[in-house]
Amino acid sequence: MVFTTGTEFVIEGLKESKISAKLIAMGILPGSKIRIIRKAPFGKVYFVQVDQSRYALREEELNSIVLSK
Amino acid sequence: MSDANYKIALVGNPNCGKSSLFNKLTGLNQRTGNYPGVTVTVDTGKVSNDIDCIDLPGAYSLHATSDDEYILTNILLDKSDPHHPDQILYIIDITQLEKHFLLLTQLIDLDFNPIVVLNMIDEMEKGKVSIDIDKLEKQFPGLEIILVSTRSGQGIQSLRDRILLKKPATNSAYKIFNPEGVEQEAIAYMRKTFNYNNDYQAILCMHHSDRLVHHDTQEKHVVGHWKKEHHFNSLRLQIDETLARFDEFAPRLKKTYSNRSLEDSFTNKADKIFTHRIWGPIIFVLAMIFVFQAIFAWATFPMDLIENGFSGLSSWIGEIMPNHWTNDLITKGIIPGLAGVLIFIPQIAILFFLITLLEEVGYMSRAVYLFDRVMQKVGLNGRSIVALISSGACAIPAIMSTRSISNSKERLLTILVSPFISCSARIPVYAILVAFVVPSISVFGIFNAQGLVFLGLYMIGIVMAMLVAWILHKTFKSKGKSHLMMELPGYKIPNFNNVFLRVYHSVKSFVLEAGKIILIISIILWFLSSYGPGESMQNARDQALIEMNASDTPDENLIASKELEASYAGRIGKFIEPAIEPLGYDWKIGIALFTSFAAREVFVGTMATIYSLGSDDELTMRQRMRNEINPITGNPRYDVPTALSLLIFYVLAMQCMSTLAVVKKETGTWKWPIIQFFGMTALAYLGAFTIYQLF
Repeated sequence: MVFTTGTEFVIEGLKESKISAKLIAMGILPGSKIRIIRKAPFGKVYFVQVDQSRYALREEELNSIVLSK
Repeated sequence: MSDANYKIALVGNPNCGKSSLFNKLTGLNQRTGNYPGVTVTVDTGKVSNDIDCIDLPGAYSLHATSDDEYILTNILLDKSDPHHPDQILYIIDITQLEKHFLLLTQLIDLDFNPIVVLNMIDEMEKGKVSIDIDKLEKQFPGLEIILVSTRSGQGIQSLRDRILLKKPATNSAYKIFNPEGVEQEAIAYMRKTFNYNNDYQAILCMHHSDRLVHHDTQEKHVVGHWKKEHHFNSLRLQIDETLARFDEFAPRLKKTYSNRSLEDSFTNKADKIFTHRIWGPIIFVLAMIFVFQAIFAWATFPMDLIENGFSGLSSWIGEIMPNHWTNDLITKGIIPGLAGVLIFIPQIAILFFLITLLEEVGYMSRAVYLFDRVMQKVGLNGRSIVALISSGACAIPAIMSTRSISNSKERLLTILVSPFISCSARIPVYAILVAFVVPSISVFGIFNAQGLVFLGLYMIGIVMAMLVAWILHKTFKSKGKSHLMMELPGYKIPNFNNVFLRVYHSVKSFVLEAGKIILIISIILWFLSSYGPGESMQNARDQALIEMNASDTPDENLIASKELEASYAGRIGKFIEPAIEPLGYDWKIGIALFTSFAAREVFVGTMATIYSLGSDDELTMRQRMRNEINPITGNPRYDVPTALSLLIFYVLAMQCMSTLAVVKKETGTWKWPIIQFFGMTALAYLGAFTIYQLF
């Protein structure tokens, strides 16, 4: 999946993984919108916004979320 | 901490203001202790004489994923744990109310009846968040709620009064956990086998059986077997449980509050610059240059004061005390030892002040975001950047700062490579030796050649840190999965109370922990360089007196030099001479190498003594070293290859007892400091050998 800066996705669900379990506990929940704010200088890490919080997530961490446009 | 005391524990998500509240409640009355068996520390303090306060590691959920989160889970699940609290204060940042409710509902299901502390109520007055407390109490019957602001101090006194009552909180009637299917079987099995008396405790112990401190290997095996036999899909069940919790409490919460806190235009605007793909790293580098300039510019004056104060004290005591060996011990062993510890306080205090400030305002998490990718490539974590920065001043606070790295392998690697970054103690050594490598001329009109060599030495340190991290990364197996998954809190005005307490505790811990070692080592060094076997010291003295029979005034410096040669330290220098000859060193350098294993900066003082100079003034010393001739080749002793080889040795060698002591404290075993000591020293030997043989 390509995470272009400025795009917004809907969180459809989370894959069954340890990363997902942690993301859910951090408040990244199905039904919320996730917005890619920007990409880190050396790539593969993203600054995102979910509801009232900002997060730094690696690409593989974003990939454990099932997203739709 | 005493077992008989009433124990309250602070629990909450990361960034909920837990540490601020801990500082407000306990002030200077706190202590950092190692939690047995693990490397993460638990801070404890006192609210009153008979009430202990425990600051437990921040976590999002009792379904732990990192070492520090497992500490929380273990303490709460095991009633016999010395940190197991009588009362929990659960801290919630009201701008994150919904997220922070998850862990609260888990605590309630464990029958803890926490007192809920709603923090940041000053945000309510600004109109960004509104909560209807009456409705909240109706939606969650039985919750005892106290409103505070750790920033403005509002409500802290009533919270303190409430704690002093030592009265259990009201029973919360709001429970969520509702086990089904295999969960019910698991609970029945765990309750029967281990006598757990709470369903949620039983299921948590099933989920996390491998990591429970209060289960032995046999019990872990039995539970593991049960899980396999009953197809207990732990991960799926954990995810479902968490989602079920949010589904249950989130709609209730929505009826009680509204939140517009992210429309905080300042943070959004600042992040556009600070986390920008190009400006972000540039600003970071500039900030680091400022930090190091500040350390060196601001610390010089207090450091000179300490140094002059101690040398004054030493000569004053030397004069008033009778001429006895105790006089020598105090003026040449204990006082220089104390000075060697205290001299670093200004640098450590300034560094901690600036780093804590950057953390408090929320900048550090942005640096972690910017550099996570680079760090990941060599097996470190974005969070390692904080430690690597600190190492530029001193590896000791740097190693202490790795506690924030949750992955144990990444934390260990960060601890192991931090001492490669050139610290402030190497500067005096570099300053003396660099003159023997290149003259102070300008290159391309703008750079100073010596400045470039200095820069090169720092770069070698950074490159070696990365390279060694990468090699170790490829060698070690990782226990847990590495992850970033980090919240980026909004920028905020720093809480200076927190900053000053942090500086105070870091300096105190440095003086007490590292100080002891430095002091002991300098006393041992004093002994080794003041005494020799049998009559050798007296003979050396007589020999010196004969040599200078021509002059009328006895040259104390020459006597000191001869005595050092005859002392145990001198003998050690001669003993290791064959080993260090291939690096281009003689026994005199050997003594300096040997003594600087306690602390690098001792090199300069030892060289001054060896070359019988009264002072360790840089220019006098350089002149004397230039005149030193290598008896075998007839060339100057400090030629380019020897000086370069020595420089490389000092860049790479692990010559700091205090760092080793801190590594032992932080990793909980002597294994890592020993590996670090021999590994780095072997590397230094090889590096110096290669350089010397090449030139």
